[in-house]
Amino acid sequence: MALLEVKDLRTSFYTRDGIVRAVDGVSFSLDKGETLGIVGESGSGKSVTCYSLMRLIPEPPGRIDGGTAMFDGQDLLTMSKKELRKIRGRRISMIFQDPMTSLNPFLRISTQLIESLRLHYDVDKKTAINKAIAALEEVGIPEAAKRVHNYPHEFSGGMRQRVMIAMALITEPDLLIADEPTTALDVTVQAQIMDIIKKRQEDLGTAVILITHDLGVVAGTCDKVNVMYGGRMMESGTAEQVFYEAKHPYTRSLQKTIPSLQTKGEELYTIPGLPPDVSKPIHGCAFYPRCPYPKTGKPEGDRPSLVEMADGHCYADCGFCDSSAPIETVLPKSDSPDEVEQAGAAE
Amino acid sequence: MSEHVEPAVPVDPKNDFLVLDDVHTHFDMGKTLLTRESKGVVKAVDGVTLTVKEGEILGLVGESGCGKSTLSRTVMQLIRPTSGRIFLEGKELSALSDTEIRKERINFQMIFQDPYASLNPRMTVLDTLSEAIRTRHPNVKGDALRSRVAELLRTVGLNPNQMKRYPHEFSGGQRQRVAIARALAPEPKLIIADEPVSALDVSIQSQILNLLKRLTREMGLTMIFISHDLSVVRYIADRIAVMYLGRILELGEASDVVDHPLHIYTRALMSAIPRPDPTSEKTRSRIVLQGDPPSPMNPPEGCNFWPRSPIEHDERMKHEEPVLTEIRPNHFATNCPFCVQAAAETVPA
Amino acid sequence: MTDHSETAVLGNEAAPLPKHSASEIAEEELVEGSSLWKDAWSRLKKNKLAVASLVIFLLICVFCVVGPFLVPYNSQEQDLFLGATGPSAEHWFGTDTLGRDLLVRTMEGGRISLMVGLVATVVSLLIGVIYGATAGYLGGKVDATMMRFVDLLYALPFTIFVILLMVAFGRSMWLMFVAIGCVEWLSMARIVRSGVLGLKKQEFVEAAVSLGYSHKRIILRHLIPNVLGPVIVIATLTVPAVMLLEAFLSFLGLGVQPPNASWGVLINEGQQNMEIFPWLLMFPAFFFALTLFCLNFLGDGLRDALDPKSAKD
Repeated sequence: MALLEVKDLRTSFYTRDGIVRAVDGVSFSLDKGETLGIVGESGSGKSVTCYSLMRLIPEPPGRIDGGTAMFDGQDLLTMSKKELRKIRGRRISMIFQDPMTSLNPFLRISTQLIESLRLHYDVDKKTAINKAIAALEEVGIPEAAKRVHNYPHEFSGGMRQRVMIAMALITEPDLLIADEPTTALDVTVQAQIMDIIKKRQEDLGTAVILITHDLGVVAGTCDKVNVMYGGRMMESGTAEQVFYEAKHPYTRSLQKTIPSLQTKGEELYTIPGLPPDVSKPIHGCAFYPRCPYPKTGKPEGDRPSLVEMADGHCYADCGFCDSSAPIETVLPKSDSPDEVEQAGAAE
Repeated sequence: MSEHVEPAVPVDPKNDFLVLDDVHTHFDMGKTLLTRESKGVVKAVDGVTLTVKEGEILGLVGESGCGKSTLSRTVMQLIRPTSGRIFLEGKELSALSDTEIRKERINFQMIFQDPYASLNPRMTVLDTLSEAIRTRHPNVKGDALRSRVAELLRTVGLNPNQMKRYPHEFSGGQRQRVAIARALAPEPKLIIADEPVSALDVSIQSQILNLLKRLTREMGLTMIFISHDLSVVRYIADRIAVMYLGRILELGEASDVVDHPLHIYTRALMSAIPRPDPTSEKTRSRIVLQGDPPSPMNPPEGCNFWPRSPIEHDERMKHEEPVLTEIRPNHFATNCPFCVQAAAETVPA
Repeated sequence: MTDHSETAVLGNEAAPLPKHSASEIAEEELVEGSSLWKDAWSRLKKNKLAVASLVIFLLICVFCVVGPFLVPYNSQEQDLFLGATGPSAEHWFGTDTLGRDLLVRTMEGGRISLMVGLVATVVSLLIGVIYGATAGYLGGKVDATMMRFVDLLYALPFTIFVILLMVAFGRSMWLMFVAIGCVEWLSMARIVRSGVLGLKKQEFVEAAVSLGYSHKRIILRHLIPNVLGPVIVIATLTVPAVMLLEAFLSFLGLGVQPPNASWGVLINEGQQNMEIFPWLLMFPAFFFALTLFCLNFLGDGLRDALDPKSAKD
C-alpha cells in the first residue's frame, strides 16, 4: 500500500473578488522512500496542494472542497485536529522556503529543536539535547555541541536552512514535505542542502515531496514528477519519462525555456503569454492559449483529465493538438515586438 | 591588503566607455553605544578594476553577499565609492558633485530586481514613463509625449492602450517590461540590470532575457547584467566577471569563462547548477564547496577563497593577496596557484 | 524638470527611440486603469457600517452648518422669563437656564466642535506629513535632529502647555486651534517618517533617484502619495480625538468661552444641571457621541479599505 495516496484534491479560496480554484482535482501517490517532485510556476497550485495535505490552509478564505488524502490508512483531510496534531511534526514534517522567517528569532535553536521531539516522544531534556546535537552534526553544522544554544540570527541563511532540516528530521518522520527548500539559497549551498536531504532519505527511507519551480533540482533528486499548471496536473510519471518522453506541450515548452548551460544560439525559446488566472473559470486545456502546437480545434467544456499510458506515464490530453511533433519545430523563435502581450488581470 | 596593488587589468579612462579603477565601497557599521569601539567595516566592494566596452553586455556573477548589488549601485552613484574612480565616456563620475551627478543620470539607468517594488504603485504607466522621458526632453508635452510613451511600450512588447493602467493591474513579467521601458525613457547609454529576471517565473524569464538582449543590440546600448545564475548570464553576456567577497576572481569572454573556466570557484558555480537531465544529474560528479560564503565583515586574508576551496592553500596564499592576471589572452583570473592551476588539472570543462 | 541643461538634450543620438509607423493612439482605445484609491473606494462602499457612518456624519455636518439659518432663534438671544423648559413644539430641544434655544445652540456648538476638529487635523496633517516625510527622506543627522525636536515637544505636558499659552496670550479660540494642532502633528510626523523610512528602501524610490529627480519631486510625487493611506486613517481618527481634547479644555474653562458654545461647553453646562434639566445634557451629548462613533467606524472602514491585507475576510 502506498504511504500517501491523494485523490481528486480540490482547494479553493473564497475571496471578496471571487472564487480562486487554486487546486482543482489533483491525484497522486507516494511510496515509502520515494521522492516526488511537484513542479510548476507561481500560481500553479503546487504549494497549496501540500499545504492542504498538512491542513495549513488559512480557513477562511481557503477551503478544502473535496478529495481524500490517505496517509497510512487515515484520511488527512477529514481526521480531527487532535489526530492531525499527532501526525504533524512526527510522521509528516515540512521545510519552508524562507529560512530567515521560519525560525522563531526569540528562542534558542536548542529549544526549537527539542520542542517537537519532546512533544511526540517521551524523552528527558538531556537525551533530547544530545539528539539535537547529533541532528545538527548530521546536517553539517560545525561545532554543533556549541552552536546548539545559539539564536537563529547567529546563523547564516544556508545554516538556518540546515537547522530547519534538522528540525524537520529530528522526529524521524515518514514523509518530508519540502516547499522550495533551496530557492532562497545560493547554488553552491543548494547542492549541499539537496545532498543532505538525499542522504537522510537513503538512511531512513523517508518519503519526500519536493515542491519547486526548478526542473534542474527535480532532475537530480526525484523519482517521480508531477507537472502542475493552473491548479491541475498536466503530466506525471517517472523523472525519466517526464524529462525524456514528455508528452504534454506545457512540459515540453517548459523544458525548452530553461536557459541552461546547454542552450546555445542567439534566442531563447519562450512560451508566449501569461499563466492562466485561476480566479476565472477555465474551459478546455488551461495551456491552450499559450500552446505552440498546431491545433485541430478549440478544446471546450471540461478541462482534460489525465490519460494513463501503459507504463504509468500520465498526461492531460486535450485531444486537439498534435503533440507528437518535436518541440523544436513548433516553438516560436523570437519575442518580436509585434507579439504584444495582452494585459490580463493581475495575479 | 595594506599596500596598493597595481591592477593587472589595463584601464584607459580616456578611451574606454566605462572604467572602474580600483573601486572600494565600504560600509562603516558605526560604533558601539558605550565603549565606542568600532563595530567593524563591511568591505562590500574591495578593489574592483573593470572596463566595459561600448555596446557590450558584461555579465557580473556571484553569490548573495558577494557585493554585486553594491557594485551596481556604486556605478549608478546611488552609493558613492569609498575610494577608486569611475569613468563613463571619459568623465569621472566619482568626482562629480551631487547636483552634477543628477544631470548626468540620464546617461545611465538601472533595471531593478523586484518588479513588484520598482514601480510607484500610485502612478499610471503613462505618468511613470512621461516623467522619465521628460528628464531628457523637459519640453515635450501633450500628444507628442503620449506618442513617445506609446512607442516605448511597443518597444518592450506591451500594448500602448494599457498606458493608463496602474502597476498592480499587470503581472510580474509585464511590470518588468514597464520597468525596462522606464529605464530606456531617458535614452541612456549604459543600463545596469540587477537580477532583472530572478523574481520571475521560468517561462517569463526567457521572454525578458530575449527582450533585453534584443534591445541592447538594436539600440546600441551597453549593459551590465548582474545575476547569481551563471546559466542566465552565459546566455546574455559577451563577457563575464565572477565576483566573490567584493573582488573579481575571473574575467573573460563568456564562452571562455563558461567553457574553459580558470578559477575553481567558477568551476564550482557551474557544476552546482542543476541540469534538467535526470540521468546525468544522478551520476555526474560535482565540485562541492565547503559551507557558506564568509561574511564580508571579516573576509579571510590572502586568497579570499581559501576557506571554501576544495584544494588546500599554503600559508603564503592565506596571507598574500593574489592579483587578477591575464592567464590566457583576454581571460583573467586571480593568480592564486591553488585556485587556478589545480582547477585546470582536476576537472574537465 | 527644468534643471536639465540643453546639452543633455543634444546628447540623445546615442539611443534613438525606434520609430513605429502608427505611434498615435486614439483616446477611446485606452484601457482605463483602476487606481489603488479607486479600488479602496469600491472596497469601502462594500462596508455597510462605514458607509452608514459616512452618511450620518455628513448629515450632522449639514445639520450644524445649514441648521442655524432655518431655525427662527439666535443662539445668544436670552429669554430670562422663559428660563429652562423641556422640549416643546416651539423649542424642539428645549431651552437652557438663560432661555436660549438649545436646538440652535447644539447646531452652533457642533459647528465650532467640528471646525476645531477639522482645522486642527488639517494643520496637523500639513505640518506632520511634510515634516515627517522630509526627516525620513533625508535621514541621517537631519532626521535625528528633526525627530529630537519632536520628542522635546512630546515631553511637554499638554495641559500645562495650553495653560501657558493662555496665560501668555490670553484666552482665544484660535489659540486653542494652534495649541491642539501643535500637539497632534507630532504623532502624524512620526507615522509619516516611519512610513517613508520603509518606502525609501523600495526600489521605485531608488529608481526615482537614479532618474535624477529632485528631492522635492521624490518627496511629493513618490513618497507622500504612498504614505497617504495610513495618514488618512489616522486623520479620521484624529478628528474625534481633537474634538475630545477641545471638550476637555472647555470643561476646564480653557477652551471656548461663553457666550460661544461648543459641544464640550454645552455638555459641561448640561452636567451641572443634570438632575433638574436632563435634556440640556442629553441632546449635545447625543450628537457628540454620534459624531465620535461615526468617525471611528469610518476610520476603521478606511483602514480595511486602504490596506486590504490587514482586513479580515
